Amino acid sequence: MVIILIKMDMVVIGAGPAGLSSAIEAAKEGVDVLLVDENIKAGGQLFKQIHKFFGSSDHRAGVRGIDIGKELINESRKLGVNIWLNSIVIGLFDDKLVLIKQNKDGRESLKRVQADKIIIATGASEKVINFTNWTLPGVMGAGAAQTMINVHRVLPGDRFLMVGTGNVGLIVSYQLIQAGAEVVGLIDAAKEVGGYGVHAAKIARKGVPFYLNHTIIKAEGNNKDGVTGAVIAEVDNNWQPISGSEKELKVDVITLAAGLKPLSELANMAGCKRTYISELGGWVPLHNENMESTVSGIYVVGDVTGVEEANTALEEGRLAGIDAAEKLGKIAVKESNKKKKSITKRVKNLRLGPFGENRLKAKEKLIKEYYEVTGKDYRENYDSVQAIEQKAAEKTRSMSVDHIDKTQGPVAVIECHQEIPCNPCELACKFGAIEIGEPITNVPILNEEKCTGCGLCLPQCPGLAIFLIDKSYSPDKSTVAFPYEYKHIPKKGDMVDAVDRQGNYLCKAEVVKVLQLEKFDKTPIVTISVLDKYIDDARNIKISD
Amino acid sequence: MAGRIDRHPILGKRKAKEEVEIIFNGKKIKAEKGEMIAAALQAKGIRIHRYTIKNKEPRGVFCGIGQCTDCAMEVNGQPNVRTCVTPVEAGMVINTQYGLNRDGDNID
Ligand SMILES: Cc1cc2nc3c(=O)[nH]c(=O)nc-3n(C[C@H](O)[C@H](O)[C@H](O)COP(=O)(O)OP(=O)(O)OC[C@H]3O[C@@H](n4cnc5c(N)ncnc54)[C@H](O)[C@@H]3O)c2cc1C
Ligand code: SF4
Ligand code: SF4
Ligand code: FES
Repeated sequence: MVIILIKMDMVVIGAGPAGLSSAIEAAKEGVDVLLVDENIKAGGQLFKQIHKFFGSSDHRAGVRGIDIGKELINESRKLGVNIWLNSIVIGLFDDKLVLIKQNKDGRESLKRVQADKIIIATGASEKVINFTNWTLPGVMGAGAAQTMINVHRVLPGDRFLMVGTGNVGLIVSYQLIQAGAEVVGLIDAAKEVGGYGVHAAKIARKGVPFYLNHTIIKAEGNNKDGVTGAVIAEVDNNWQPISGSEKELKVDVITLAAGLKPLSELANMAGCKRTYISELGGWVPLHNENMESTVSGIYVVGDVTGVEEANTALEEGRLAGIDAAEKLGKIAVKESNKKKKSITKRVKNLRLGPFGENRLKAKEKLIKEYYEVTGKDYRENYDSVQAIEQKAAEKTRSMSVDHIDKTQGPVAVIECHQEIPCNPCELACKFGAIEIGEPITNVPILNEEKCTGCGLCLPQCPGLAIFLIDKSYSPDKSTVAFPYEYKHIPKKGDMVDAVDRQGNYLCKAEVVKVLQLEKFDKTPIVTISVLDKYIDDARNIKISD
Repeated sequence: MAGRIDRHPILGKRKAKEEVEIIFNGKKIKAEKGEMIAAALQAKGIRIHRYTIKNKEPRGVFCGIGQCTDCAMEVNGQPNVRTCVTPVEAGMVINTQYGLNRDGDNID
């Protein structure tokens, strides 16, 4: 069989946010780009993410992942990027020859493409954890469950145990509940929730228990039904199960969210030097400040160079796309440097705060090692990656709303107390009442004087962490408004159960308003009234289906 | 409830799609045109796709994106088809795979 050789300026491997953004930036400068992905749909991780993304406005925060994906695909198509789907890259050689296995209507064919620049944006795969019977049908990756419910629209069970409380575990748990499942609990061997507090709070308000300091011992089940239960146990300081603490949970699905591992095998095959950094998920290719690997002309961007977020993946992709366009002579060095400098600053800001700090240091190490390995001089064409000083954040806060006056009228209450890279609330407020500023990891601060109680920030917050409290509702009652993204939306006048932040029953409450506007993008705002004494705690409702 | 998600707060109501018939272990079942085999089976509560050769242990969907091969089945006579990334077709014959094929008479 003769396989013809196709020549391109640039081949991008993987059509997730990192690959798409590098293709877009390069195509904007007139580079001929071929974007290859093994899936039947472009978008990478994005096409199963139906939640509003956190991040900044530069990264389309507050927009649902699937919609970000669609926008990126449209933009790349408009710019003339060639997209090959159902096409898996099975070989990559250091003379920049890409071997692609393409599947068209059930027929497989091989394609050889040679390019001046190659961008590896293969993302990451889910890590597996072993326990007794972990191979039983019904034990699956959190990503598999997410694909099942959000892409195929099939719920693979009724009662779920989520193993892992990082953002993936938290978000997929929330989405399982939205899909109609019962999440029986989340377990984590660590003593604290790994992901963002705002994501954890969403499911806690639904009454889902968190078993911290716990591990899974075994899956119960048989060869005919698959999983029928799970045995979990408390762990000691060395993460060893404490005997006698075992608990059995009746579940039919166990989902694993034990972290992601960069898919860096292709980079390795092409001769790119790698290093092992646990904060980044495992083996990652070294790269310089423009994302170029140790093999000149081959770039690595997104989760493959360290598991992070779509925001950072987008920015890394942009950096590589621009640098490659520059090296191909499509953009002037001065202009390219200007662009790269502003991206570098943005991406640095995304890695601040307690959640980003370790990744920031790890990324710094990767770049340092790149220069050691290649023996190249580190040209400081712009600021080296260094943490900039952060505003001290209030770590602990009382949850009471005592500061709000009975005569005051509606006012926002922001229950977002961790330094995370997110700011759509700031942008949503047309009255300048919410301040985050720079860096983006600052905790949002509400200026109550300026807050008119319009409520527009509520549906914009991807963490569903903003509430609107009105104590002036009646002499003995107050109202609380909150976003409510579940199947059964209550109606005005309904009597419902008000619950607290852990989903515990508080009191009966009347639904006084339900607002569902187009611009809220499927996040209705529900307002309930409760006796004044419950207003500190009432943060959600429970409706029996 | 396990099975098809008819109403969803974000994705909206499930649109009625054209149905096709597939044959699973000799029984006719309905599937949605173009959906993945694994999704069609899961919608009917079927989650055991194959049994391993040596220990005869059951396997089902694990990664859902074509990476692990746990979901492999015998499709139209061909073994080891990853059902999570293979769309259904009208009249497709799908069998639980025992070992390397559904007769389980293969070597390791
Ligand atoms: C549950 C969940 C929630 C998330 N929520 C957020 C959020 O709110 N905000 C946020 O910023 N981020 C979020 N993320 C993270 C974000 O989705 C990822 O960090 C991001 O998608 C990584 O982008 P990427 O382009 O590097 O990789 P991916 O999106 O994984 O894309 C890589 C693509 O390359 C393809 N590929 C791999 N190897 C090959 C090959 N050999 N040949 C062809 N194609 C190949 C893959 O199939 C895939 O399509 C979330 C992730 C998950 C799992
Ligand atoms: S309620 Fe309105 S005015 Fe108050 S912070 Fe939110 S958006 Fe701004
Ligand atoms: S309150 Fe603001 S910073 Fe916090 S999650 Fe919501 S939008 Fe993001
Ligand atoms: S479930 Fe892993 S390949 Fe299908």
